[in-house]
Amino acid sequence: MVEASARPAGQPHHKRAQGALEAMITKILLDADTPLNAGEVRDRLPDADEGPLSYSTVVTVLTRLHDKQVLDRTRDGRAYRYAPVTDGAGLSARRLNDVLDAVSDRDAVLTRFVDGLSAHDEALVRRLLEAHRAAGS
Amino acid sequence: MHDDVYVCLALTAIAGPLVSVLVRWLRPRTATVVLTVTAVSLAVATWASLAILLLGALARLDIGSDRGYVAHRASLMRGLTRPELASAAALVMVCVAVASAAFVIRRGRAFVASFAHASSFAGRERVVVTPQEAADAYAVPGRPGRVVVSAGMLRALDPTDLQVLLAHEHAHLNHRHHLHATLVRLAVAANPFLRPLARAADFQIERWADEIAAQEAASRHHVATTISKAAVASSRTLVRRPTLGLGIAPGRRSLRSAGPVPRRVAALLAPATPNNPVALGAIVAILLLGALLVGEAAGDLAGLLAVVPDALT
Repeated sequence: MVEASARPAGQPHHKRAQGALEAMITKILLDADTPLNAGEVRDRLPDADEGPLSYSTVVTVLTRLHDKQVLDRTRDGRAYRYAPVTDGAGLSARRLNDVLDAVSDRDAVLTRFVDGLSAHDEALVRRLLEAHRAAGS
Repeated sequence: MHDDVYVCLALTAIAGPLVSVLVRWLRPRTATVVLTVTAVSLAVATWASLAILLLGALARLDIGSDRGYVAHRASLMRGLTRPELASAAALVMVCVAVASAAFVIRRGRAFVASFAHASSFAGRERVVVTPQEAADAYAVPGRPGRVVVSAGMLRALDPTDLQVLLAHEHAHLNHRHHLHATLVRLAVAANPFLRPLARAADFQIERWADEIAAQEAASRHHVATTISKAAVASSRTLVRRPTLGLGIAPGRRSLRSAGPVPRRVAALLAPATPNNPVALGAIVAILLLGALLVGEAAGDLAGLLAVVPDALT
C-alpha cells in the first residue's frame, strides 16, 4: 500500500515507454540499409522530452531486442552492430495466424488498427484526404 | 399483461436498429457506453418478457386443474397466457439460454487464447515488435495486455505516425474495450434482433480510440492520415481470410455503405461534435419505455395471481 502510493501509476507508464522505445529503435534499424551500432542508433533517435537518451539505455534496449530475437547482431571491434531479423519464411506470421485461427470469434477480442480495405474504400479514403487538403488552409 | 409483453418484445426488435443509428450523433465514448447499456438492458427485457409469459401459462394450468375460483375463472383465463403461446415462449427461452451458454463458452475460449497469445511474447513490455514483413498492428488483452506491431507496419509509418498508432492501441487496452464488445455480443446472443448494436459498437470503439490518439497527437488530421497509410500498407501485404460481408459490393459509391476505414477517416476530417441532447434523450426514452412495459406486465401478472394466493406454489 505504501509502495503503491509512493509511485502512483509510475510503473505501467515506464513499461509503456520502454515498449514504445523498442518499436522506435526497431523502426530505425529497419529503415537503415546497413547494421548500426548503439551510438549510431542513438544519433538517429528523436530526443525524448527530458533530452537525449543515454548510450546505456540504447544498449539495454538493443540487447533486449536481441534476446527477443527481433534483432540479429554481429561483433564489430568492441561493439555490436544490430540489424532486424529477416523473416523470409514468414514463420512468426504463420505462428500468429495459427493461434488466431484457433479462436472462433477472435474479432471482438483482438482489435486491429485497420481491418479490411477494399479497392473502393481505398479510392474513397484518397478522395476524402484530397478534398480536405483542397478545402484546408 | 399480454399487450405489454408483445409491445416490449417488438420494442427490442425496433430499438436495435434505431439506437445504432441514433448514436451517430453522440461522441464515440458516450456512444460506446450507450450501446453497451442499451444492448444489455434490452437483453434483460427480452428475458423478463418471456419469463412473464411462461409464469402466466404455469399459473393458468394451476388454476385450470382446480375447481375453486369460480368467480374469477373467466377473467383469470383471459388474463393469463394461453398454453400454445406458453410452449412457444418456452421454446424461445430454451433457444435463448442455449445461444447464451454457447456464446459464453466460445468467448471464454477466445479470451484464453488471447491471454496465451499475449504471454507468448518475451518480456513484460506492452509494445512488442514482430519480425513479420506484412504490415499489421493489433491489441490483445492479457497479463500484460500487448500491443503488437509488425516490422512491415513500422516500415510503412513515420515515427510520429507510430506514436499515433500506439496511442490508439493503448487506448483499447486502457479502456478495456474488449469488455464492451463482449457484453454487447452476449446481448446479441440472447436476442438476435440486437445485432445492429454490435456492429455499431465495433465501429464506435475504433472511433473512441481514434479520438484518444487525436488528443495525444493534438491533431485529428494526423490520425486520419496515419489510418489511411496503415490501411493501404496492410491491404497490400496482409493476406487475410475472406470475411463475410466485407466483400466488394459492386456499385458502392457513398460513404454510408463504405467499410469502417473510410468512415473513420471522414469522421476525423470533420470537426469534432459534442453529444446531441435530442439523440441522447431519444435513446433514454426508448430504454425507459422498455422498463415501463416490463414493469407493467410484471405488475399485471402479480395482480392476477394475487386473486389466487396458492397458484404457483
